[in-house]
Amino acid sequence: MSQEQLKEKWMDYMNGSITLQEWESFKSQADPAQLSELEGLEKIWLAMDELPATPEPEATMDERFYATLSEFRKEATAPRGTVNWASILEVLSWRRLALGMLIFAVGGGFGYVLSPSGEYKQEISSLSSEMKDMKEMMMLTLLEKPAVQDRLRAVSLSSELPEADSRVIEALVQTLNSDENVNVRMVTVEALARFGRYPEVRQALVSSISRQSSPMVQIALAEAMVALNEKGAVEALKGLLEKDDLNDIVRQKVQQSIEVLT
Amino acid sequence: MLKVKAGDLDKMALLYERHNRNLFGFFYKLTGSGSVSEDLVHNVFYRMLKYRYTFTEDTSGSHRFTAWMYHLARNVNADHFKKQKKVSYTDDMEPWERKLKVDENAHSQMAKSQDLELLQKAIKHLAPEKQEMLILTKYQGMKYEQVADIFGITEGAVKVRMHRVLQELREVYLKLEKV
Repeated sequence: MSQEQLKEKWMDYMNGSITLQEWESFKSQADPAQLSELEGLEKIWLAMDELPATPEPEATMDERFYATLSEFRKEATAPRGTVNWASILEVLSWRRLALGMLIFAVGGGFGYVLSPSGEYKQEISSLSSEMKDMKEMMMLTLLEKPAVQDRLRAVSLSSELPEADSRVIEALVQTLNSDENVNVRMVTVEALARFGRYPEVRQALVSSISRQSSPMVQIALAEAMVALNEKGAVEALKGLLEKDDLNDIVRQKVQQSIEVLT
Repeated sequence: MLKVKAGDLDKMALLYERHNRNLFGFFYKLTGSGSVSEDLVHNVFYRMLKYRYTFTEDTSGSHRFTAWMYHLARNVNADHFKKQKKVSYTDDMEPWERKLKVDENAHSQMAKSQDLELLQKAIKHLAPEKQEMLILTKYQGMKYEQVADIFGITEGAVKVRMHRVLQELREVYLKLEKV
């Protein structure tokens, strides 16, 4: 038996493809000199069994997964803006409808009589502006945190802001270009795309294309460019195609995006 | 997974329950850190949900999903490895911290513990791809055929590479032992 054949049989035995008896039978036909190297390797292979066992993960891992799954479920089942009136009317009898309308009218009347004064309205508007400032500050603070979860939360907070000022945009752009976590960068692409009406955001997204090395982020950026119909991104996307190490799926996606944009 | 792709996201919970521990073990052996492994497992399942439409049907059955999952896991590990390299290399002390809790006063235990520490160091000296192949074969109990599917090479090539990996591991181990 050649050394190569013997090695192959040993590899099969180590992987459980042949039994111990079969291996012993092959071994008995081999030259003892041939076996010495394999014995050294076997020692290492068996010693690997002694390494510290894998512990159980913390319960937070499951919690995080189920929270993520529920987010995706929400997205997938979000109403598309169509209301099935026929099924609603089927459930409601005319008595219920009449009662509902009466309550609505009475509520409207009370609302009219008790509507807040101008001063009160001003207070509410100043309060909501303070709330906006607080959210903004919280977002900027969380973006600096080392924990990925915090930074993800920060980016999602930006979606609650009706308007984004230069500080918020600048922080998000910096996150997109320099955060080490792929998930954070991906959600930042989505967050920035929501502010796509600002020219500086579009510009930042375009110039980020060449900076990203993660295939996931590259795909997210290509998708964002299509969603924003940003024709200025074509050159940057073409530049991406010139990279030799570009992932095949990304290449396909980028080509599709260029076709849509041109 | 095809059902998940078609929109039945509840099936992802089943896939998670079936595979999360194995995936955690894979990352734990690679990184030696529980918290990092938890993060990486989460990243893999996040990518599965996000990119579920990239999963393609195959006649080879359930192995196809496992291959896809480990393909994503390898990408996640590569991203993590790049990031670690940027930050600077640090040896994670978590597994050794856990070991310290065990009573290991006896000399023989200590010697054994040192040998294992060397072995673990030697494994970390291997290139990430080699570590992945070693872990999939040794600890994930995968057949060469499955590993070949994940790496996109032939079964024969896996055997040859695995043999070289073990030879390299032994050489590195012996070198470290002399230091």
